Amino acid sequence: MVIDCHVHLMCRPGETQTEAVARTLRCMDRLGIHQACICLGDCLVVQPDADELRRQNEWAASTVALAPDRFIGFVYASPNYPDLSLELIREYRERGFRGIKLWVCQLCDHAGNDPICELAAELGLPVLQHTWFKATGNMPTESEPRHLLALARRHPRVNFIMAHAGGDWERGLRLVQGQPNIIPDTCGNDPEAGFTELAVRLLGAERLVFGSDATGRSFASQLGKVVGADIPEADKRLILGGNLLGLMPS
Amino acid sequence: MTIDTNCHLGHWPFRKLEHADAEGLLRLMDRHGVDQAWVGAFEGVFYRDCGQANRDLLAGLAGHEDRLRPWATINPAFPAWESDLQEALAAGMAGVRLYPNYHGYALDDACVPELLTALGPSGTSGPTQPVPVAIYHKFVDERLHHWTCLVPPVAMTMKPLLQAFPQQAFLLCGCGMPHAQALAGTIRQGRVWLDISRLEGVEAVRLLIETVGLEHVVLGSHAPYFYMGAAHLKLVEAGLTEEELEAVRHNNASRPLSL
Repeated sequence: MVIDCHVHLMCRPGETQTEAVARTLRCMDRLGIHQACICLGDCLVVQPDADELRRQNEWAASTVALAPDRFIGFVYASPNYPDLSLELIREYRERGFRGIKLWVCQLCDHAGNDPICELAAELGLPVLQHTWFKATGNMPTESEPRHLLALARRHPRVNFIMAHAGGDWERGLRLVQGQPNIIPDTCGNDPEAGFTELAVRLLGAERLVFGSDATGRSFASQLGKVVGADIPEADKRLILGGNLLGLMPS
Repeated sequence: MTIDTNCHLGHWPFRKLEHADAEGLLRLMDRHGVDQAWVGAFEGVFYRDCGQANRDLLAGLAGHEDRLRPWATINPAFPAWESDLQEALAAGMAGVRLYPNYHGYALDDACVPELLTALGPSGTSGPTQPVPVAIYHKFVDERLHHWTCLVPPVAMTMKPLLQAFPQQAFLLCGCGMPHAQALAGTIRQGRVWLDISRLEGVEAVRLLIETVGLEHVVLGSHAPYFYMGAAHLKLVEAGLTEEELEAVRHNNASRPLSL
């Protein structure tokens, strides 16, 4: 069972949502990816207002509705709108969503994320948080792994999926290796050899989950990090789906 | 027959890479069904003395020349590059690799046409067709560079070069879809091939074929810096036909080298 924890459904110019879903499913089928977690909307908005948050979650919900056996929804929440975020998390959890997505509107150790994380703990939802450490410089509100480390220490009952493993994965993996409720994903940077082997060595195969960051990224390039790694097949099965199943409520 | 047009051997200074010697790369090739890889030297990216990097590369693949075809690193902005080129061609190296951003020049600098002239029929390479050239747009995502080595991507100002050297074969490595789209018209008219090592997006190889034409797309993995299998999975993801697979894996790559 291969599950991709990190997909954003975007349309190409002139393409409908239905066509984009069909293209995405076609590629997942070719690569043996059974399910994908969908979050955010049809475009990337760094500072979404309340209306945009609602609209992007509805986009994700309508995407999931087109293939409910293949897609899993993650609620897009924002520390800038904690009350609205709590409302959205409860609403979409009732509609079957199984995780929470936090992106780049604030550094993730922002106090506005505390009530969101408290609700995540109550509902048993994993939190997928964007992280990057860019040699070229982050956006002012773009979290580095150290910000997620601070948040994860404040909320030890929440499992945090560290998106992109911090981008600079050698730095990111080392920084969070001692924090057991941080689980890096595999996606969002080039398929640099050695990533998966290092993650397994530092964190263990139980603390890494497959994600692609499709549809901006290729499913294939990110899947290649796991399939091509020099690790036992049993470890690959955990990373490709087993671990994520254990993080999400049914 | 499958050809990987974008591989390296040797030592990368910022990370220990597995499979970076001849035996290791051959193991990867066997795992992924690759018959032949075109290889350059990691050291060539950083050495001032590219000739030494080329000699070390040749020594490292000795006995495996049937499957590992060496490409020479040349820095046309460095003094006496002509002797490096002569030595490489005399040793039978298959083509020339350029890393303009690591070697401190731009594609529109005067040294580039000087090199291309030397590669042509009246130059060092002799009376037949020009020696093929690979140009590396990006070796590493600039966001992931080591803090001592922040190298911008190469500005791919290809059009003047293609106009001035219409017979020259160019292999563009490490380009993404935006560059393919920007250069599409020029690529379709020239002897230009793009590798898929840094191509991203769902079904991206299909989109690349639609953008630049099937005959301009080649398999290149950027192994062992990248996982070799990532490029092969991109072909699966794109759902290529047998004819398209044959073109991308072999037929197109055979043209710049006249295999």
